[in-house]
Amino acid sequence: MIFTRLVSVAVVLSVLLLGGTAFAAQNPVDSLGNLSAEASRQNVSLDDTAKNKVQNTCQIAQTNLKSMRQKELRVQRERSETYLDVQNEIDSLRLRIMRQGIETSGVAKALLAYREQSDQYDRLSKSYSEALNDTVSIDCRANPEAFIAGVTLIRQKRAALLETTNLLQSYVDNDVHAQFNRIKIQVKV
Amino acid sequence: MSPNETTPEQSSRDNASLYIAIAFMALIAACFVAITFTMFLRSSTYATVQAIQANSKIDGSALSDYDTTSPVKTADIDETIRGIENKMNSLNNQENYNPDDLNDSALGLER
Repeated sequence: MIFTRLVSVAVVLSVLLLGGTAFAAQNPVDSLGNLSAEASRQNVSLDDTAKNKVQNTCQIAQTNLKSMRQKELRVQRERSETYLDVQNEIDSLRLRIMRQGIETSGVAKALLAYREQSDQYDRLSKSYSEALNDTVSIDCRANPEAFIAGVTLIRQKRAALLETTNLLQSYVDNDVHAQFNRIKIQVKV
Repeated sequence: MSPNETTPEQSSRDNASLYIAIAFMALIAACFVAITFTMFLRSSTYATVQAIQANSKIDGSALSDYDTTSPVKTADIDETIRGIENKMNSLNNQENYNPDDLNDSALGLER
């Protein structure tokens, strides 16, 4: 009797378990779902001519995007390392100057702004890579609107990356440079 | 023997059933733990934990390879500024993120 009851409970739990397993095993990256939502957000609507054109050419575009992907990842890694290295160079010099009793709050402020942009670059790179992966992995012939939304999204992310990298360059060329030039007057030769 | 008394065979069978049932439940419990762990690994909470760990690693060891103690002269400042500008200039923003790389023609969408 006790065995029958326990087995009944086990069967019920097993059903729940199978449901949970199915949920856990779902692909965490739902590329088509992401891009379909993006297509709705962008209000992408293609007439038959445009749809046909996309369906005829999108696989070539996906191949081109795939070949860009490796290079993009290498560029992102190199940039993240360089930005961190530059940040540490600035910070270590700031600490050395501070030890000599010289005010360095201007450098600290410039460094904070730089660091925020550097973090922004890392976040953007990640979302750009995700959008790129989504765009190359969907069935573009069956989902031309989602594909076009993906292409638009990666263009937007890429433009934002260019803007962020230019800002980082500008912080170093202008703000950090100006702060250290100001400090130089107070440092003994 | 009264009707309420159990035979040794029946008692032994009940015991075996109990052990099997307990093993069953333990197995199911282990599966639930595995599912919960999998869900945690996939959750944003885990991503946040990883990000925090990565940040503390950077904060803790970031400057260990850099000189933070020796006295500074103006030449050191000039040298550092030159060094970081060279590093930044080695990154070609326009080339790496050229918008034209993604236009219809470059992607092959214009055929």
